[in-house]
Amino acid sequence: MSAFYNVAPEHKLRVIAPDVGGGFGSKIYIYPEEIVCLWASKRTGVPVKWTSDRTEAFLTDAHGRDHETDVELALDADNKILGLRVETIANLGAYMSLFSSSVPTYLYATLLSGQYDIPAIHANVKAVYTNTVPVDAYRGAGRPEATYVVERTMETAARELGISPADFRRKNFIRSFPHQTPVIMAYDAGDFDACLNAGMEAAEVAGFEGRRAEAKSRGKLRGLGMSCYIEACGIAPSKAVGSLGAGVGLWESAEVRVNPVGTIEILTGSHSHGQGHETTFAQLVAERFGLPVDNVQVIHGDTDKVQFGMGTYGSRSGAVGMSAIHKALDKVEAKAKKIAAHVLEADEGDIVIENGEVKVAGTDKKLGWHEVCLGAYTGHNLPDGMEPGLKEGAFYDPTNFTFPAGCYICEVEVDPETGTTEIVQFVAADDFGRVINPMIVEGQVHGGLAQGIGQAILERTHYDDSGQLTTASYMDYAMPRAWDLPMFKVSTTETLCPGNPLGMKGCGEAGAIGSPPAVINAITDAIGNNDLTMPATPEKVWKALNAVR
Amino acid sequence: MTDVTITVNGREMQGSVEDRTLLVQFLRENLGLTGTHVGCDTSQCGACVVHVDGKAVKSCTMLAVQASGSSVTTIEGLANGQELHPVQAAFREHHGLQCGYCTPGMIMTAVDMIERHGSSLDEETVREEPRRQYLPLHRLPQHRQGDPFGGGRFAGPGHGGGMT
Repeated sequence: MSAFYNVAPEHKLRVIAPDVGGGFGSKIYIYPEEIVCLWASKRTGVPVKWTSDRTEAFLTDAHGRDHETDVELALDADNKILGLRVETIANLGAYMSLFSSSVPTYLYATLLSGQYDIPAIHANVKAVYTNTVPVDAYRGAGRPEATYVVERTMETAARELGISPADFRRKNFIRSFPHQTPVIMAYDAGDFDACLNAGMEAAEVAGFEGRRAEAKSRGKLRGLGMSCYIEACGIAPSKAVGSLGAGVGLWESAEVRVNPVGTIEILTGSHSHGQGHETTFAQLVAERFGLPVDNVQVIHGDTDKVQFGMGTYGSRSGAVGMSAIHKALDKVEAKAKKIAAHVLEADEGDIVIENGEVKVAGTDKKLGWHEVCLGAYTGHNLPDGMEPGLKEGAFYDPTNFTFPAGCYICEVEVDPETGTTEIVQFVAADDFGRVINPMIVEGQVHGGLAQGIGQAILERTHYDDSGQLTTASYMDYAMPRAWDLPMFKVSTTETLCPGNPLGMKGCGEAGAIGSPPAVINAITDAIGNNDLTMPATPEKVWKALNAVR
Repeated sequence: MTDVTITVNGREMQGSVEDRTLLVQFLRENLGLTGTHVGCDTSQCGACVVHVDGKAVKSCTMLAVQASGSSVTTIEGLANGQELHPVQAAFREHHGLQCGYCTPGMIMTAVDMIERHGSSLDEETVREEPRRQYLPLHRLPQHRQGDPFGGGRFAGPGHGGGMT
């Protein structure tokens, strides 16, 4: 804010963002009102508070998606993909917003290869200004749009060819890594067959025709749809985004402060607004030294405490934020080992840290973790020339994006009388690389799926002919609720990401990225008409069904 | 301005409010009890649910003057000192929240459902009843083993006992 808006000198500006509710992209940006508050406060000499009510939020928070796309797929006689051609018009809204032009370009067209070996891809994106609310990054940012194009096309092609959608995908899967796609991205690792197999098993695809027949006997139309997504997290490296015109680098920073009693404070630039960093980051540190997790505190969201951070978005906190913590922990561990080796008169290479103890391997010589930490601060018995204290920082700049991937399978029942869709089963089989906390990962997937299903069947931003936003309250804008969703069947497979020290890929957006095409593929399968757009409201589904009956 | 007297979390609170003041505004702005959140402004989401004389009410849909003379319980009044209410403990245990914004309303609604239905509360009711009432479960994790409210695992003395 200081550098770009010149509102106050950086050393006099303090930003505190504690529990701020969820983010989902819309809190990345600097909104004009925030600058106006600073200006007004300076002008009047009193604190200024600004609250956006829900309708104001609908009218001013950045919106998401909003593409219109034509796509063509070329196949050889053996159903191998030869090429993909995509023409997209992307709405940016009325004003330039922070990422608005990069979302439908760098984060969209670069993923049009999906999980498939496609020799040639041509993408032409026209980003247009209109008179709507600005459209910018929203959970997934470009990758849901790309996944929708690719996975609707794959499913459609398989149906038109009269072959199994799963077999058609298998035929074209990328199987050797690293894989350079024709659209910039170089995929580093993955096992798409593993996700597909896990998904099909969990979804009991083999029994689907029986379930379809049973539904028919109840007067319901049952359909099955699949989506094999790949996405890109942790936008990187800084050099690359710099060459594309970004004003910042996309690294992350961390500081590990070990207190004299052995408790640890982690200062991270990865803000936590519902992702559970306080849990996962603490777990990483506690497991590293064998300490109780309660001995670790995670500090974020205060510029007077955390000097620099690039924030939480693009599912980067694990792959980038935790990698920075990991690097800082390496330094802490190295110093703690040096101190212990000196005190225990052992070789540094023989020191191991486990279960809260610093030991000489193969002997009973050891110090408690807290003794080493206290020793670091008393400075009474340190190796010659060593600075006292046990506090280390690190910056981590990734060398590449990470590439989470997965297979989502949705099963729906459509009521032909009303066009109402019930999602009767939803399976997610994801590969997020290394998982630190399965419960948090599962929660992220659940939330993402709810959001993607909402996009597919409920959520719609509508303006009337005069430009009035007619969906500016939750009375008019349909959010998914508990009864709209089935119990999700969620599982993970694992290929480690070779690009970062923890092997993590990121899980925050996958659910929202992979799910919309699975839902629409299922509905179009149920009604036997492929001509359907999101959101698939009962009215649209009923019309599409009756257009082919 | 009208004087109101409301017993909030067991303490009698008094205030002088404009007639148009909503109960949620009185709780948040006059009393500083900011655990009750406003999510939608249009009585859709239920983030603002509190208990008025033992019944779940959206506090954005009731005037403070209407609540005068009543007894109100907010999320701040649910725990017993340091000991979480069983529903709070269950949400924590089963990761029934992420950013936490609407969690207070979910918990107040869940407690109300448990108190009303007692041992007859089943999974279907838990899933279906909020259809009429509320529930911005959007973007929040489902309960790991079952439904969003943890099925029947919120048994606790005095809190709809008998659930298994």
